[in-house]
Amino acid sequence: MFWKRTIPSIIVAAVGVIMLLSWFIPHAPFDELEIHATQWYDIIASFAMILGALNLLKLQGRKVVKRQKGWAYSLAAVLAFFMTLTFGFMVKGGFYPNLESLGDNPEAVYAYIAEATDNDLENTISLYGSPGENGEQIILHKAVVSKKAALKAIDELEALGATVSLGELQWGSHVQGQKTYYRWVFYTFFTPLSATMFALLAFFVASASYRAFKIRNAEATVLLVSGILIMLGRVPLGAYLTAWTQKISWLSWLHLPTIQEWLYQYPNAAGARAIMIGIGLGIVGTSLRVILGIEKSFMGGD
Amino acid sequence: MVKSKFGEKFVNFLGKLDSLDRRIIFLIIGIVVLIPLLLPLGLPIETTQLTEDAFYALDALPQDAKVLMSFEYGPSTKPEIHPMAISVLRHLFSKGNKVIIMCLWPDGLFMANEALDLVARQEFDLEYGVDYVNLGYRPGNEAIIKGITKSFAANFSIDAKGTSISKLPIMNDIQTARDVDFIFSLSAGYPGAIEWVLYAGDPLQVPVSSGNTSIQVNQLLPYVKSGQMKGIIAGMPGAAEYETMVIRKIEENIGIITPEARELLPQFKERRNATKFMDAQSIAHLVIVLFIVLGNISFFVKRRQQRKY
Repeated sequence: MFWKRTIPSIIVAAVGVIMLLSWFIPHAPFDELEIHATQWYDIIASFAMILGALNLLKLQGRKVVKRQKGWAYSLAAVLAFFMTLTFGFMVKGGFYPNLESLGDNPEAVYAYIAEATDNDLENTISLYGSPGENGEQIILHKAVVSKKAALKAIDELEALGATVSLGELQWGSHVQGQKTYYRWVFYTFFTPLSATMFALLAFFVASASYRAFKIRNAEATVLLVSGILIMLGRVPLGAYLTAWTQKISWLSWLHLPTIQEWLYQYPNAAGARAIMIGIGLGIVGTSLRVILGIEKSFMGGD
Repeated sequence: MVKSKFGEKFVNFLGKLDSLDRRIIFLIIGIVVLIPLLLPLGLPIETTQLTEDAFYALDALPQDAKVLMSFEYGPSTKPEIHPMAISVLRHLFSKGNKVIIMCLWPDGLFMANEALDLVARQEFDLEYGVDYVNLGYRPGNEAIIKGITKSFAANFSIDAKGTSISKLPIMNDIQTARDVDFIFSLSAGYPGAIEWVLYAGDPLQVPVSSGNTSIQVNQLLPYVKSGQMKGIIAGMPGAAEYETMVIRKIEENIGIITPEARELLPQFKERRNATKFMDAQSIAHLVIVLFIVLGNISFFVKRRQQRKY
């Protein structure tokens, strides 16, 4: 009990009070403490990612092993996890032939590079015409460039008389570099899947609006009317349909973007502000409870 | 007699619409989104105050200003936010401003690279490390924001390419977030624009603005109304408005404009993704409104029928 509850409570209370004081005391050692604390947080956040990954494997793995409902999806999640992990830490791709000199037959080298990089000849000459001191990186027209593919291109270029060396992206920066497996996973799997999931919202919003947006009482009517005004006022069609009101001064307030802007800026902002103040007070209350050791649910258990 | 029979059938039909198969709704939405994408209507874009405030706040920055842009979105919200990123970068580079980029979301790094590849490298042909830099992603959410208010080097010792930030000329006089002239957050959620206001903008008195998804506008408006944020670019309509304003600024020669930006104007006009998508969004919104109206007519008919029997 002492080690599991009391010590963590004391640490939390001490850190909470110190961080609170550092906000009001901009002098040593408090100003320095804030820098260190944020760095500690960064380190802990990085380790939390490892814990999160382990938790994902534990939960999804259990589903697969026990063949629970939807286990196939869990298997896909586990496989995707390992695939991304492999391409992040073990296999990177991102190799490239580095052109150092064109040799005696530059026309043939240009033609080869133009084809290999899917570029036109004129552009290729302007890009590779005078390789710099460190050479010129040839970005092959492939989704991923492995060491084998880069070496093959180097052999073929050297056969044409060019001097070419093997280049590769460094570990770490490879996650955003061109022609790497990690980038390939991101653009081939993650991007379309993620975009598809979000795009489905349009269909569900339309269906849900049709079924749920009903004039059942006064509150629902206000919600429905303001929803329609916002939906139409936010798009160019709303402005286009009510453009005629702008020509008659006493009707100009009927312009849909004007109504929408008013709804956004006044009733909506007022409501949002009230919610935010409520949340803010809640955070203050909860933080005080945590610092004073009254709130212990964050430690887990009872 | 014939007329009343037809009327009865029509009323019954309206009553049954309440239980319309949702697949029909999905199909109609799919079609009405697709048609304007294939056959654009070219509806005119009118600018609103929220976007204008953000635009003019950035436009008022002097030519040597350095802007910190943070990418907090991924592929799911890319259609809404990426056109804003591109337009804001075009706006800043067309004035000669320097841009420092960082990411609080891991996906943001890819989005930032894409935007920079198009605008900084292909369009403006700017020098990395001098005109712009990508510091990359760091885990830690608002702790990173709080961290850079004290020291950039402590949180970003190297950039996304692995170069020490001490070797990057653009970072020479940037020690903390206080040294930048403006913070612009491209945010689709947490951590995002609100955290930038709370942990950097307000404590350091650095102006903050943001480009967000439409759904976030409710949460952000109180910060705009209180002056803590200099306008916001709200969703795809906001992005289309910003595109229009950047083009208008160059066309009408308003304020600082570099010669490169004038040359790039035809390309900017050609590559207006948000504006192109607004036709589809307009029609989709109209159809959803029609569905709501139809749903209510059906609801009333059904209720009347139930009372009758």
